[in-house]
Amino acid sequence: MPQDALLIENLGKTYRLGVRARQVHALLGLDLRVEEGAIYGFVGPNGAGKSTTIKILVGLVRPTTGTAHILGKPISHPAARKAVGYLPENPSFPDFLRPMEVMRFLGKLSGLSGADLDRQAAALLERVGLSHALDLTTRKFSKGMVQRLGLAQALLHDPPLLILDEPMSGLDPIGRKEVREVIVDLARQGKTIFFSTHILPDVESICDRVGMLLRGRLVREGALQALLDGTVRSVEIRCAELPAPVLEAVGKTALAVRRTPEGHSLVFPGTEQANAAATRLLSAGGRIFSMQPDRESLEETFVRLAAQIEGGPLREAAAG
Amino acid sequence: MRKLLAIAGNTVREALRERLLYNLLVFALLLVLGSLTISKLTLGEQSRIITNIGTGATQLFGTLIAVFLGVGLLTRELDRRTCYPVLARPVSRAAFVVGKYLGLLATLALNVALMAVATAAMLFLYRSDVGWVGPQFLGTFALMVAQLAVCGAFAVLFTTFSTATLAAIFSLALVGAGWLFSEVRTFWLEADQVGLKTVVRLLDFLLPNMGLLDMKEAVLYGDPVTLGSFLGRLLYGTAYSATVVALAALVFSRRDVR
Repeated sequence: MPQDALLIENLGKTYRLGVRARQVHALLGLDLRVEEGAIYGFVGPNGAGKSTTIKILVGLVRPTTGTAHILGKPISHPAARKAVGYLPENPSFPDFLRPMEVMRFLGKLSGLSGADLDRQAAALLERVGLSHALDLTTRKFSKGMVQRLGLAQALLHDPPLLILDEPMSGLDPIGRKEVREVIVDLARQGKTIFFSTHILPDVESICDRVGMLLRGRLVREGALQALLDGTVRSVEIRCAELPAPVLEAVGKTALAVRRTPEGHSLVFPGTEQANAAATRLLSAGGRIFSMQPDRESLEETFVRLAAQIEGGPLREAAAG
Repeated sequence: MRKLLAIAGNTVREALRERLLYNLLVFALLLVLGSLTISKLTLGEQSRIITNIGTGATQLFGTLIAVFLGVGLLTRELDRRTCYPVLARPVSRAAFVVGKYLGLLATLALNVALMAVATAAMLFLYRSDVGWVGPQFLGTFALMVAQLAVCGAFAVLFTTFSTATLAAIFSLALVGAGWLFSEVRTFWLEADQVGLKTVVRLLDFLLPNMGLLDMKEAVLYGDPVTLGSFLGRLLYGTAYSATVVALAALVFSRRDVR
């Protein structure tokens, strides 16, 4: 049975703001387990408590209630952080340092030194695509380059657990794809990835499990497929251009028929109607390019849940 | 220890790239260079005037450098969030504060050494001998590092719970109070006319005795200072700064970084 990489019990954080120490509950009674080797997506709108949770886990913020353990060690002990690679949201590094200097400095703090540190740092900078920028100070870095450097420093001491706060933030589509690939690759190596994000399609494409946070509370948690409503809402058939009589016959049960550059698109209300139409279409000599069922996406699930819980749609919930 | 040195080394590197440091340092050096001209306005005592200006400029500008670099040590890290990847590693908050402070201390020591060399060079230019640069001269500048260490420690302490501006004001006020109190402490503690002895004793205990860390008179007027007295003063400065930094580490350890 795999060990818990992260075990969070009744974790809560209340901030006291202003002169009157007004209480703001950022996180309420969070219980969570992340098994070793999992890719866990932590999603929620702005202000839901994702970053607060992560900051508690890496020792930046002290919890008001509850406890958390990283690979069996309590987070209150600095030694627990040996096992963690952390990428902050919008990371920032001393702007007078070059990437190799940043890596050397942070590597020493993780107990690395000498030629091993230099070798590891150079390899990681190459892996995240920064080997062309070794002569630049981080002051001259773009947001995407800083994000890549953030990812490299998180991997520097080869930690078994990676806690990434919005790792795709500030990256262009190519950069996002590369980070996704790095995450999947790390999981293949047996590392546990716990990451927060607004970009729900990224969660859908790489996560094993998902936790949804709303107003400091965990509202849904579990395997990704179990969270999604698997009901097929419609099926779209894309095919080559059809003779008018065939199109009329096939399209009788369709919800919508429209022309596309390659021929036609027909949308059916369910799988049975789509299958029947496909059979008729093929027997009439037609060519099918694709049959695509339309299911609720994670983003839609999230917005639906948010609306149910909050009693109305959340403006920020669909960010992505 | 290696982590402390890494943080301290990075702090020195950051400080040496600070424009404020160079502005103040250049101004102080110009003042020392100018002492050669000022000393010519008087009859005799030129060496004393050069030394006086040299030590005075080191104290004044050193205090400003200590306070302004000191308040930036933590606030800059927090504002720019550069401390996140550091504190998320197996580094205690206390080690972070102490490492930053040691870096500040190294920078201040470097500044004082530079000013001491500049003052000695002026004396050499004027008299063509280095007779003034004896143990008392060196001891005076060494104790200045202890003075500045106290200033820097206050700056770090106050930034753990207030803004940079307030921390600079509080630090300068406390150091100023320390200087003023050291002028009157003997009278306040011993004269029967002065009441509220408990408050005076409390102030004597809490405020830094900056006068004790000042050996300027010895080098200017040739007052003898024993090695024991020098080491005692140095120990006082070190212990006072260490206590203030320990307090800063304690406060910072309990603070949320967000």
